Amino acid sequence: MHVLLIEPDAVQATTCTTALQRDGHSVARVVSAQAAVHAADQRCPDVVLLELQLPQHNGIEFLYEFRSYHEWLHIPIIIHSFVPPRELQHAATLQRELGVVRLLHKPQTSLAALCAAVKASSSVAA
Amino acid sequence: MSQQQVTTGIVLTRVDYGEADRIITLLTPNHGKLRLMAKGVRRVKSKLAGGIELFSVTDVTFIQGRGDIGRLVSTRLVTHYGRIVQNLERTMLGYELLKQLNRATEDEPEMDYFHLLESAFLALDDAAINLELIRLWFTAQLLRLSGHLPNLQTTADGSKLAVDQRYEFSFDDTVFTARPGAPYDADAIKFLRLVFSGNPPAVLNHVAGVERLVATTGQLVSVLAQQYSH
Amino acid sequence: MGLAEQLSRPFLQVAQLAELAGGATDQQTVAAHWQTVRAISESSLQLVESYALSLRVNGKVTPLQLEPVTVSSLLYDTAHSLQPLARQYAVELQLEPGPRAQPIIADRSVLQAALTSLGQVFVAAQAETEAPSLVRLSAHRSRHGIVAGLYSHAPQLGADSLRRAQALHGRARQPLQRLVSGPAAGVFVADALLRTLAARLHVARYRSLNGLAATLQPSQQLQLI
Repeated sequence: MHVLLIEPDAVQATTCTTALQRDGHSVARVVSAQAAVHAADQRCPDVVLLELQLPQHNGIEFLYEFRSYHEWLHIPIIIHSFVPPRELQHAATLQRELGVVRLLHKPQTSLAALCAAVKASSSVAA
Repeated sequence: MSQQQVTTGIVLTRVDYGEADRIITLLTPNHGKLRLMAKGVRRVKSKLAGGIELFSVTDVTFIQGRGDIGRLVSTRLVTHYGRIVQNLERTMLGYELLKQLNRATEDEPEMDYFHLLESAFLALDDAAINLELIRLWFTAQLLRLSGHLPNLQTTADGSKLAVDQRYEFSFDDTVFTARPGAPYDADAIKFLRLVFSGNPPAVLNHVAGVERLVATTGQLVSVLAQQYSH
Repeated sequence: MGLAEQLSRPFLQVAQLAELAGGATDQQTVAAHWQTVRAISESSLQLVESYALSLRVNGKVTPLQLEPVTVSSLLYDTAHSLQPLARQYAVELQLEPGPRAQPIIADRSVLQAALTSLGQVFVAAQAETEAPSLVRLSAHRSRHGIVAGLYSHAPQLGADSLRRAQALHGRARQPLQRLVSGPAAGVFVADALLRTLAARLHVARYRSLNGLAATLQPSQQLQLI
């Protein structure tokens, strides 16, 4: 699968990319919401891995922007963020309206679990 | 010859069109809802990309075509309520309010809706203002602007609302009825009066016990709004 | 992000690198992962130590040890301590110690800890920007004193991060749901340490770069020596 990884931290990005590549996926990594839209334009991803805490435009803005493009409506999105899921009071909205298929809390998610979530996303429609 | 026009607007929605274009719907004070084609804005380097941000007031230059959709020529950002997007809850409420307003308005909404949205952004941009208050206030203003004001002065039989009574609300008649042990007291009703008379959130935020009052009255306003949205 | 969440970030990085090292087969890759673990661990330990130092000094548990300090030597030492982290993040460190300046009277370890904490933030933040990755450690004279600070192209390392960091004083964590990326912990720690020296972190701009700096007073006493 082709993964669009939206991750501003360089070390995090490297470890996630390495793990995903080892699992056989190709990865495009960007640091910002605007760059993510551009990257998706260049090569349509099969799944998006999104950190909510981004410079400039945040992950929620990216979600709404991304879903406003007709051809990207069904691409599954996995949130992989430092924001704990229990603090995401609109988790249901994120899942129902914005096609977020998994909410992963970074400190509690191993790379193996991340890769498993990415693999599982191929069978889940957004 | 097509003439260029200039207006202030607030972006309500942005929807893709083709490979590189977007249709932007703006809420304006004098042109109602304006739909404009923004060409090539999906490209990173587009000069328009920064001027059509959400949670902003923007001056737009456009050419009105013969059909429904005009053409966006240029934009100039007037005010960007940047603090909204620094907070997850505020960002999501911002989107919710945009959706609510878009649904509640036809193509020719009055200037009041534009000012309502601008005031909502101002409130959202202020971290000190209670979010649930903003949600309640906005919904109440939409009700007010559409003419659906509940009766906050008298009961069903015409008696003035008393300070020492408790009341329940009838959604059928949109009026309060006295009943011991009912959920709404004088403070709650006074608060609703303040809300429905258009006081801005910054003022309402200073009402003593505002969090409790919002919690008490929020559902009433929300159910009323749902009632009239059908 | 809350201070606690900031400090947990490097632990996450270490855990993930250890996970990768466990699954790697070639020695070179394993060695590279462990090198990164080391750089991150050392810089995180430094940050925690600096935070502890700020608490000890502020709580008057540890007294300040004031001595003559040349700012240029301080910047050299700071750059040296940031090198491993900068290498990991592929960030170029530039040093501009400035013209020969009078020494200042300060607690050297407190000032060093402040600049190093700040430096860690600047280095890590470079990866979040699409501009060139460089951090400049610089000192220059102004009419108010000697301005010593760190500068870069990253626009988020300025007034906003300073405000967020200063808002952490007196609170266990920042308000919930802050979505702006970029670490505040190092800025917070630097600010806390500088306050013990009656200096404050402030937004600064020098030679086309934005950053954060402290204005330090040269010692009048030492001028007479």
